[in-house]
Amino acid sequence: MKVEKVRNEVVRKYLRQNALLFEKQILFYVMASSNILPNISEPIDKVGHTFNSEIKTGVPNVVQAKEPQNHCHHCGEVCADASIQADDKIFCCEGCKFVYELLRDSNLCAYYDIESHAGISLKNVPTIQRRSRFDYLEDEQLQRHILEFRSESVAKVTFYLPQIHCASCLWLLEKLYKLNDAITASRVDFMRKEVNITFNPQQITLRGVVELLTTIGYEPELRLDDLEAGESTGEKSNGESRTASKRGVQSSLTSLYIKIGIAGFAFGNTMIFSFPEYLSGTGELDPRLRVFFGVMSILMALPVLLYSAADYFTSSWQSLRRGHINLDVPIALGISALFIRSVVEIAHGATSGYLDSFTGLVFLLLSGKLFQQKTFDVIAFDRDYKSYFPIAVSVLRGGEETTIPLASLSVGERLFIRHAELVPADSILESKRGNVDYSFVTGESSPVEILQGDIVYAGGRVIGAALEMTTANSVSQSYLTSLWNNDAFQKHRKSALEQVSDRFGTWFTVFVLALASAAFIAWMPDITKAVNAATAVLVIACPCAMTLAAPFALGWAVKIFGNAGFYLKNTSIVLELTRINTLVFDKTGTLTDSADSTVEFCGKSMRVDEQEYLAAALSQSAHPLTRSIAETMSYAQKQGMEIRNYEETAARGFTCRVDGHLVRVGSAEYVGSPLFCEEFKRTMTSKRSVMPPDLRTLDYPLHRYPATDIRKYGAEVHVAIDKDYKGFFTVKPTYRSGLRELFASLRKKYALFLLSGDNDSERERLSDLFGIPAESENRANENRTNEHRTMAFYQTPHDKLERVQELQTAGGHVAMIGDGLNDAGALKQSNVGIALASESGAFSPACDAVLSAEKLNRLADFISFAGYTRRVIIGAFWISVVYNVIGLTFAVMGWLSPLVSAILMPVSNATVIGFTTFATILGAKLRKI
Amino acid sequence: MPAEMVMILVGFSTAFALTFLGAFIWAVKTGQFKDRTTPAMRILTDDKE
Repeated sequence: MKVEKVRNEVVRKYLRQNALLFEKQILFYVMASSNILPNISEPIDKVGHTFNSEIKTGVPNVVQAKEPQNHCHHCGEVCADASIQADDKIFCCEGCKFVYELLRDSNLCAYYDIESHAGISLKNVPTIQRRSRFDYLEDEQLQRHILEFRSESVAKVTFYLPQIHCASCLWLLEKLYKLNDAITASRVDFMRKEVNITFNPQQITLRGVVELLTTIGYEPELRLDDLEAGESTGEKSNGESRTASKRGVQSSLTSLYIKIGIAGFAFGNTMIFSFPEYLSGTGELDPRLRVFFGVMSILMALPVLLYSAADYFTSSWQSLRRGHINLDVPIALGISALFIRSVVEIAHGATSGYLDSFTGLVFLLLSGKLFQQKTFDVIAFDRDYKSYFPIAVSVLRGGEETTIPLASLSVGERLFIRHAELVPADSILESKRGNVDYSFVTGESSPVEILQGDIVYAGGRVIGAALEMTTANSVSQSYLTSLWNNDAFQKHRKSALEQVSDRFGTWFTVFVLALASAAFIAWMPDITKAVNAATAVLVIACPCAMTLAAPFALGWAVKIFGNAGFYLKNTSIVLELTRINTLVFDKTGTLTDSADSTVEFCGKSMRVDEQEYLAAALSQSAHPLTRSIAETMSYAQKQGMEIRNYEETAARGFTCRVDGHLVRVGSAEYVGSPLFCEEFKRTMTSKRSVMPPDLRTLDYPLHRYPATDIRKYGAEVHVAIDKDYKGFFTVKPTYRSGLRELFASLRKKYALFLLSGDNDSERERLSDLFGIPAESENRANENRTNEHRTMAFYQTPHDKLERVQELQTAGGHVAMIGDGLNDAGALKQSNVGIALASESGAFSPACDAVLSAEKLNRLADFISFAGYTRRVIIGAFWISVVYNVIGLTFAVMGWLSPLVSAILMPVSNATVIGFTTFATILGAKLRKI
Repeated sequence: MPAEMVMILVGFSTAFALTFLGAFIWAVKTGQFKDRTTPAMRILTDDKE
């Protein structure tokens, strides 16, 4: 029994680590059952818990936590003390303890056994005590949109829960019925992080369900675009459907599966039915049997023709009606020729027909299509601004606060927006003053101070005190969201793949028809032979280079890219990438890591207690600069201080009393001691390398900085404690690693540009990174409207869009790399829009690809691999040429028989598929992608 | 005689095979193939019912 327990534990631990890798799961099943498992001695890392790093500045970190730390039994975070307890277990906050008790009372403590510390910390979640928070869920119309199904006693809804991360979550969420009787069932889709809940609407409302989920820590994320029933831009080209909604994609996949199933079934059976004829050797087949098998084959092949292959016929018909010949035309032609000729020959009792080649071809074509489409699942693209905006907003009506759905928001409503909440529509500020962070919109990292009467733009985030404002525009007409109504989002451009395959299709059809006619004419006096030869040409000619090589090569490329952290929206993007000649980069968040900054200190060393006061004071402010500095100070330093008289002057600094000591943090002027600052700055701006005496006595001098303007190297945050000036911190943005090499290799083939919404303080550093010599940059700067300027700052989202358009009119194929809402227009307008993301959920919609932030330095390799894939397709093209030549020779000479076709077609298709697969994967391995 | 035998046998086996095709279509339509990771995780969680 003990062995069993240990083994199960071990299996579970392994599976937890690899929960998402299906293949590894199978491997471990096998290993577990065969009892060959190594000793597991290291502890498994907890998911999602990071521990603060050591202080990075010159200030020594004297205070270290020496005692063993208490971890919350629920969420695993470090507890300050053991004050909150239940059942001998320690919790970090009342919220965690509450959830524990709730689970315990419902006998759900296995939650903690499956995965320890699986709980979601409730510290940062706005308190549920705010009754009005879920008011909007009572709205009838909203409910109708959200609920998937509704009847008297049954209602179904699906929620997206970003907190799902482990097997415990799965387990608990499927046990919701134990927490509340009104919930009948719940089912989790782990990959999509969704839960589908069936409940009785008479016993619990939708609001009740959401509140229940929030109580246990799984608050559903409801976005505005969840309200859309699903839009579909149903243009099919090359059989590729471009529906935007998840349900649309699912249903097209379902029908594709069925089509392939039918085609495969028919393929296998018709092959078997053809064997008697092929294997009869010298003997003659009983004519009745030949007819019988022929008829059976036709019966099998009919559904394939009418259902499985239907898309090809409708697509080629639509294309011909518009006067074009796309790639589906020769396919439809070949398929019909195969079928008709087979029926004719079977009817005459001549042969058993070509139906095995026919069904085999349809089967392989559909498999290629499926392979291409399967890659859609990985990431949900095609969202718009609505996926950023919350579903509801707090408004003040008649003096009372209530939440209403965003769709019901009208102009002139009074909004109440709290700290870290998004402003949904352009509004006029009613509060006296406030701070808004527009980094989402412009990329500018410092918050903007606004006064009563100023406009607050949609997309801004409130920092600090909550603000009241009156809406001036509707959500969709606000300055930022109107970006989405720009032409860039409406036009449908033909993708690279469409263009190439359409050209190929045209050329191929013309050639085949010409050859068929030529063969017909050549054999002319003999009508039978002429018809034979002409139809044989139509039968055997196969555009498999495009119809098979392209889907498989591109499908593999997309899969390989996905595994490497580069998620493409569809296979066509691979080809788009090969056409790129210009690259445009955004700065904040793209080139810089917005979560990580380099903090350095210059000044006098501080005593341990002074450091503690400072750390406590810093953690009070929401300003990004102070937050960056606070992050570098270890956790233990922030505890237990009494903070009083906190006063903040927006964007200048703040003051507070920590345990009675006055701490002043902010800009040089705010903190005082201007003499020191002036002297210091003068030193830094002059070219002297010798520092004046009093500056030399500093314990942490700025020897790192050459004698240039200190502003170039980052923002300053000055500190004074008890009226004693201590020094200042500089906070520099950290650039992602590997950028210099990346730009060096990219510069050889592509034109590089930078568009930033931020100020130009980083100009020199960026020129250095880009490898642009300073003089040419200065020359370009003199003329502000010079298009050849490589770097541009202070760009609004519309500016960026226009710049991309300019580059395109000048003949560029542009790839844009950016993040955030402010790049949306430019991303959409460029030929390939790449969004950079640190987590898979938080990227700008309207992009064509998502690149994982730590893989940015491999961008050059990725683009070159796309080019390699294209060469693989061309190689497959030549292979198919060889087969076509052989086959067409047979056809024209009148030697084509079902046996020849049955051998040639599968072999050629298999070779093409095999070659592209092998070559693509090999290429990736060699490039270490 | 043998020809008729073959026809009967092939007929039956095809009919039999068709039921499998039907089962496949049913499985696809009722969403059996939609989510392939969660069921694998689900069977491993302990249920102390």
